[in-house]
Amino acid sequence: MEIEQGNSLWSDAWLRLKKNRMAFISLWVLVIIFILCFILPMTPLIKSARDTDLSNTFAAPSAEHLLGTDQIGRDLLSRVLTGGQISLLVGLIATVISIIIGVSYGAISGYKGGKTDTVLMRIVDVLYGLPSLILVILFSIVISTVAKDNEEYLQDLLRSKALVNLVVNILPLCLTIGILGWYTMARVVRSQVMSTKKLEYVEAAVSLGLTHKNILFKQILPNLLGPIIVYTTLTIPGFILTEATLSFLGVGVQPPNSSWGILLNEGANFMETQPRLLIIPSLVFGITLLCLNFLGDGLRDALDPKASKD
Amino acid sequence: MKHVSHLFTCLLITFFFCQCKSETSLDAKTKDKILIRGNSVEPSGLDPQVVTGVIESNIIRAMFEGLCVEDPVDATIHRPGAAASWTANEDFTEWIFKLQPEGKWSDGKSLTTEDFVFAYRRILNPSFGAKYASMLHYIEGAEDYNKSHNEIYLIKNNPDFKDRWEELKGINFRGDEEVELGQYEGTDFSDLSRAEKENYLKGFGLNQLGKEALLALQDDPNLFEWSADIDNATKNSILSIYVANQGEDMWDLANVGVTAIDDYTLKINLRSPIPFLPDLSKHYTWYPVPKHVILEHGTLAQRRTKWTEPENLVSNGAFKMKTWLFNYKIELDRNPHYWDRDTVKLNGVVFLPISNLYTEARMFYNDQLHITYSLAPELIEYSQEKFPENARQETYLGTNFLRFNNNQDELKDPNLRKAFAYATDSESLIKYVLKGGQQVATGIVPPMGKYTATDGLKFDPVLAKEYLSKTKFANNPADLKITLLTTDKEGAKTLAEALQSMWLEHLGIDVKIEQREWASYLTRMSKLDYGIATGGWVGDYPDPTTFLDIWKKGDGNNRTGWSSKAYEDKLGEAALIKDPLERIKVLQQAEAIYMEEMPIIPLYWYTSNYLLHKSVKNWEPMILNNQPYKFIDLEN
Amino acid sequence: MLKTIIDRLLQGVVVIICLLTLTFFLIRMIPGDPLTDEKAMSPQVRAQNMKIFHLDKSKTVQYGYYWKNLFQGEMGMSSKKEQPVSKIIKQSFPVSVILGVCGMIIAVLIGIPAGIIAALKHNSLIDNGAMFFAMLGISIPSFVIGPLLAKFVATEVPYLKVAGWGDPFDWILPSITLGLGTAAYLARITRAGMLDILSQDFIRTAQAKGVSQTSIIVKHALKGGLVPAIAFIGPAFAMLITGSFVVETIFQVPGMGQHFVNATNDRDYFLLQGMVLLFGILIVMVNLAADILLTYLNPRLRS
Repeated sequence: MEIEQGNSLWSDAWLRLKKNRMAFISLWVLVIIFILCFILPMTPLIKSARDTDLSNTFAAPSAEHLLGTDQIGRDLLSRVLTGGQISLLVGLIATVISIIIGVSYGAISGYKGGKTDTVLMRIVDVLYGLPSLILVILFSIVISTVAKDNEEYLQDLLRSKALVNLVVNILPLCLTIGILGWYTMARVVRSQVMSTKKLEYVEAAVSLGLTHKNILFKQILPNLLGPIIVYTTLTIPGFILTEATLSFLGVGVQPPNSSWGILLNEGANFMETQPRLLIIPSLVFGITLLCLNFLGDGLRDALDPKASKD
Repeated sequence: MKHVSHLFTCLLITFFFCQCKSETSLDAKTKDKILIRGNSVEPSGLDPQVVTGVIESNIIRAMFEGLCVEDPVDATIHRPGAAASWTANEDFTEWIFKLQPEGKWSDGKSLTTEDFVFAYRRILNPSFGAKYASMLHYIEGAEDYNKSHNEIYLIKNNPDFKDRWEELKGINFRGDEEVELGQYEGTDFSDLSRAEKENYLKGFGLNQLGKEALLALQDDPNLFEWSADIDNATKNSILSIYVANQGEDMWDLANVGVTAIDDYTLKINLRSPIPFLPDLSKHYTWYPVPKHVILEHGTLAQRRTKWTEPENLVSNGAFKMKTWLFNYKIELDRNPHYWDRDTVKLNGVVFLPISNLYTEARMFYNDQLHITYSLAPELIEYSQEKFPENARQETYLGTNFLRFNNNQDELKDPNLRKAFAYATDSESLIKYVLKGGQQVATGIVPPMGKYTATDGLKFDPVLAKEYLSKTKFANNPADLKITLLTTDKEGAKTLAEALQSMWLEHLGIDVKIEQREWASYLTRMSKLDYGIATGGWVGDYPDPTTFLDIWKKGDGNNRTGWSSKAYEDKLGEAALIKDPLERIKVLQQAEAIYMEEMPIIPLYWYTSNYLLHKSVKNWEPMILNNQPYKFIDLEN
Repeated sequence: MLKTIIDRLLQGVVVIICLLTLTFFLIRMIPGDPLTDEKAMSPQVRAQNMKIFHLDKSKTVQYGYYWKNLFQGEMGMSSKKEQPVSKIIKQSFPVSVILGVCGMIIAVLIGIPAGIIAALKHNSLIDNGAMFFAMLGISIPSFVIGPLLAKFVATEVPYLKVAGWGDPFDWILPSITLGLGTAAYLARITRAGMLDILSQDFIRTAQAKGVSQTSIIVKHALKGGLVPAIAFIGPAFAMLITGSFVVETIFQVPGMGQHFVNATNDRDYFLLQGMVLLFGILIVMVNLAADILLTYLNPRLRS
C-alpha cells in the first residue's frame, strides 16, 4: 500500500495540463514557434529579411527561398520568422505592462475596499468606456514622438542598435497597447482579492494584526498567480491581434521592422494575385494564436480546481 | 427567441421584396444612363471656392461650369461653357467674355456677369479665407486685395498722404516674414509681454492687425517699429485710419480687374500676359457661384453657410444636386435649365466615397461601378491580364519627387543632393515597385503641350559616387545620419524601403525610414523637420508654372528651405513675355537652374491607373483627368 | 433600485466629462491641426481660417467655448468636411446601430449555443471542435476574414454584394465579419460560466435528487451560467459599434467607425469630440442596462 503524497498545487496543475491533449500539444507547438522565430534567424540558414531583390519579386518557393519572395523580392520565410519575433515581443511586453498595472491597481482596489474601491473601479469604468482605437492611435503618436525625439540620447545610453530599435520603435507600441489593456486584469484581480479577503484564514490573519503588506503579499498574492497566468496566455493573442489591426490602420510597428500584422495586411492586398503571401502568414499567425488560446484555456482548467473537479 | 424570429420574418419579407424588385445591377443603371463613379473619400464640402482637392473637383465639375469647357478629345481646344465666345487683346492681358444668352442656374434664374463678379470678389475676399484664392492672383489687383495690402488703398491712394508716399512707404505695413507667426496662435494679444507684443506687431505688420492690437497700438504707438523719421501726428492719423477701416472690405477701393460691362459681357484684366486663361477658367476656383442663393443663406464673406446643403445647392452645369448622404453617396441629376442640355447624354451621376482601393476593385469586378477612382499597384498587372478592356493607364499631369531639407547642414551641399539623385534608380522603382507604367522623371515639370521636359537627370551610380566623393562623407558614408520621411499610406513603405536599399547599395548611406501618419508627416515637412521626404505635386492647369511657382521663397508648398534669386528672376522674366514659345524657353531655363541645384529628386511622372466599364462612351484620356461629363454616354 | 440607477447615471455624466476633457487635450497635443493640408496656405489665410474655426484662442478658452456651445446643443462643425457634427452623426449613427445589432445577433446566435453545448459535453469531441472554431474566430483578424468573405462568398451567393450598403442583404457579410470575433469570445465565456455553475453544489444536489438534466440546465444552470456572458455583452456591444472601422472600409458601410479614425487622422477636433460624446453616452447606457439585467439574474447582487 502506498501512502498518497500531498501534491503541490503546481505539480497537480502540471499533471492536469498534461492530460489535456490540446493544451499540451499547443505548448509544444509554441515552443517550436518560439525557437523558430527567435533562434533560427540568428543562424546563417535564414536570409536577412531586409535584403530586397527587385529583379526577383514574387518568386515561387525554391531551394533558395523556401517560401518564395514578396513584392520587393524579400525572402518570405525570413519575413515570417522575424515578423513573428516582433509580434510575439509586442504581445509579451504589452502583456507584462498590463499585468504590472492591472495587478497593482486591482489588488489595491480590492484590498482597500470601500470608498477607494468605488472610486478606483469607477475610473476603470471610465477607461473601459474610452473608445480604445482612438486612444491607441493618439497615444501611439504621442509616445512614439517622445521616443523618437530622444533617439540620439538613447543611442548613447544603450550603445546597441537592436536595443535602441526595440526601445524607439517597438516599446511605444507595447506601452500603448499595455496601458490601454489592463482593465480586465484589474477587475479580475480585484474580485479575486475581494473573495480571498473574505476567506477565514485571511480574516484570521487580519484579526491577528498582521501588517497589510504581509497579508497582501503572503496571503493574497499567491492566490492570484493562477488567474494571472491564465490571463497572460489569453491576453497575449489578444494583443498580437490588436497590433495586427493597428498595422491595418498604419500605426503598427514601423519599418524596417515588420510584424505578422503587417504581413497579413500586405497579404490580404495580394489575395487575388499572390495568395501565397496571405496564406502562409495567416497559417503561422492562426496556429500561434490558436495554440496560445488553447494553452490559456488548458491552464485555466488546470489551475482552477473548481473547473477541474469533473 | 422572439426577436430572432422577428429577424427571420424581416429577412424573408425583404427577400421576396428584393425578388420582385427589378435588378439593381450595373446594366440597369447603364440603361437608365446613370454613371456610377468611385470617388475615394467623402468630399470636404462642395463650395467651389472653399475646397482644394481632386475628389471635390470630380463632383464640382459635373455640377458647375466655368467660362470655357474641355473638349472631350483634344485638350488644346476650348469649348464654350458659361461663356459663348471670348476675345483677348494682343498681349493676352485683357479678355472679353460674352456669356451664354441662355445661361441659367439650376433653379431657373439667369446666370449673368454679376454672378462672376460676385464669385471672384468672394473667393478673393481676405476674410473669406479661401485656401486656393492664389489661383486668381493673375487678375490685376487681385493679389493686393486678397492679401490685404491695405496701405495701397488707405495711404498710397489717399489724397491726404499721396504726396508723402515716398516718405511713408518704408513703414512695415505687410509684416516681417522672418517672424514665426505660428507661435502666437492660440494666444490673446493682451496676454503677451511687451517684447512679445513688439515681435507680434512686427510679424503681422499694420495690415494684418486686429482691432485689439490696433487699439493697443493707438495707446502706445511705440510698440511698433515705424520707419525712423515719422512724427507722432502722422503715426496717430495713420493708426486712426487703420482703426476706422479695420475689418472693412476694400473691394471698392481695390480696382480688381473684373468688370461687368453689361449683364452678358465680362471684362477681365490681367496683371501679366496669360495666354492660358481659358485653361485656368476650367478650374473650379474660376467658376461662378449663385449670388442670389449665397446671399439668401448668409453674407458674401461668410463660410460654412447652408447654401451647399443638398436642398439649397444651385449650380450652372450639366447636373444638379439630388441627394448627398455623408460617407455614403452623392447623386446628381440632370439639370433641366442647363443651356446645352441637348448635348448631355447622362441622366445622372453617382459618386461613391470608397476609400479602400481593394474594396473598390472588388466592387468593379462585381459590376457595381462604371469607373474606379484608382487601382491598387498590386492589381494593375493582374487587371491588365484578366480585364484588358477595363484596365486603363494614362498620363496624368503630376510629378512624384523626394524633397531634401536644404536647411539640414549635410544636405546644404548640392553635391550630396546630387549623389542621392543619381543613385536613385527610378526605372527599377517603376518596373518592380510601382508597376503602374509611370514615366521616369528627368525634371520637375512633366512634358506638356509645347513644353518638352529637361533630360537633366538619369540613374548613374558612377556619377553618384563621383558627387559623393566631393562631399565630406566621401570616405565615411555610413556616418551620414539622414532620415527618409514618408507617409503611412498604402505602398509608401515599400517605396521607401526600395530607396533605402538603393542608396545603401550605391552610396553606402543607410538612411532611416520614418513613417508618419498624414498630418504628422505634413507638419514635420512644413517645419522642415526631416532629411529627405517623399512628396508629389499635381498640376492645376496645363502650364509649366503650376510646377515651377511653388519653389519660390516663402511659398508654403516649397517645404525644402531652398530658394534661388536667379531662378525667381527667370520666372519673373517669363511672366512678362507674351510670345508663348519664347515664354516656354525662358521657363525651361528656369527649370535648368533648378535642376542644377537639385533641391528635390524627381522620381516619376504620374500615370493614372483605373478601371473603366466598357459601357462608358466618349471617355478619352485627359492629362488632368477632367473628362467633361456632358459628353459622356452609357451604352450596353 | 431607482437610487442605484440615478447614482450610476450621475457617475456616467462624470465619466463623459472626463472622457471629453481627455480627448480634447490629447488630440491637441499631437502634431498637426485641422488646417494641416497638403496644399499649403499663406500665413494670412491660415490666420483667417483659425478664426473661422475658433482655434485662434488659447486652449483653455477653446475648452470653455466648447462646453458653452455644448450646453446650447451645438456640437460644432467638422473642420475637414465643413459640415455640422450633429448632421454627420445623424446620418451615420443608424447605420452603425444596424451593423452593431446584427453583429451582436450573429455573435449571440453562434457564441452562446456553442458555449453551452461545449460545456455540457465537456472534454468531448464536440467541446473541442466548438472551441477550435471559437478560437479560430479569435485568431483571424477581421481584415483577413472580410476580404475572404467578399471574394469567395459574395461572388457565389446571389443577392450578396462584395461591398456597398443598400438593401438588408448588404448587412449580412459585414455583420458576420464583425460578429465572428465576439461570437468566439462569447462562446468561451459561456462555456466557462456554465462549467462553473455545473460544478456547484446546488446543481450536484439537484442531480443527486434525480431532477432531469434538461430541467436542471434550463431552470438553474442557464440562469447563473450566462451571467458572465451577459456581463460581457454590454461592453462588447459598445466595442462592436466603435470598432467597426475595419469592417466599414472593407464593405463600404457608411457608419461611424471610420469617423473615429478619420477624425483623429484629420485632426478634426469637433467631429472627434462629437464621436466621443456619443459613444460615451452609449457605453454608459449599455453598461447600465447590463448591470440592471445582471441584478435581476443574480439575486446575490441585489442586496
